[in-house]
Amino acid sequence: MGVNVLKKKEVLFICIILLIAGVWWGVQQMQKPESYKSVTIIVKGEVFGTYSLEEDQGIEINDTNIAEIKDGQISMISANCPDHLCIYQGAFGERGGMIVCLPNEVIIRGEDMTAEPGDDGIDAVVR
Amino acid sequence: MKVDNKKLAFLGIVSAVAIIFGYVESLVPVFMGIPGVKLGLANLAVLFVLHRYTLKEAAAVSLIRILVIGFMFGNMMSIIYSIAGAALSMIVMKLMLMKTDFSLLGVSVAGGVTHNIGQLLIYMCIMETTSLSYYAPVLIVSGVATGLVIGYLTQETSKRIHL
Repeated sequence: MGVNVLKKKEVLFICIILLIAGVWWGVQQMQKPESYKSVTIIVKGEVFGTYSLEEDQGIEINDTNIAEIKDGQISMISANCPDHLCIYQGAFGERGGMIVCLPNEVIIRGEDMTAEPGDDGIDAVVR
Repeated sequence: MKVDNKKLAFLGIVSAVAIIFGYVESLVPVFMGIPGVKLGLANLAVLFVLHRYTLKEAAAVSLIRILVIGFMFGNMMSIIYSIAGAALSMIVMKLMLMKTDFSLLGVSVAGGVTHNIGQLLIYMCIMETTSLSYYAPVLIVSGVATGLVIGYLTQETSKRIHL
């Protein structure tokens, strides 16, 4: 040792890891719908509620967190946890995303309202 | 049983340094623009001990750090999260040191990635949702990046500290 250079094997190893991450990300992007109309809030593994991104509102999540929907974007504006990472995560809108508050086990994620489970995506055809 | 006083004192110092690293990092909530992603400076101390001594000593340093940091700044849950990530990455790094001829850089990258994956898996179990896998790609990439930095720092530290 002595010099800080990567061996060929190590470079290959790192490339494979990055490739896995890249493919994973690519698959995620392909599965993702074009736009999200609403968000779902999950608390401790159970659905707390689904909210439309189109109307501005404040959402009190139990007594622990407060989220806000404004101009089609949702963000966490208040949390009683010590690190406030969920607030730092910022806002997301119709392009999808996720806000997580680990201490309070709260997840906010984009939801595709046009594709309900068991639905082919078309609500009704009007002629 | 003969106690190696020099080693004992050294491990004490390393544990103290690891705790300070953990504290310093807790002051910086947003690193590289991604909330929750940390450099993992404490891993420098763990990798250093793992490289110089054995899994036993590294595990001791890591556990002391996690418990002290956990009781001072976290809670029971944050201790569990930390132990999951630290244990997985430590075991993987030990295996890499034994079974491969990777330098500390490669070993550290493996440690960084498995640390993040270990924590993510625990979060997924506790929060009972798979939707967190959304974060996997960014956590893998950040694990590689922080692993390289920590590996480099550990190499430089190892060169300068002789016992």
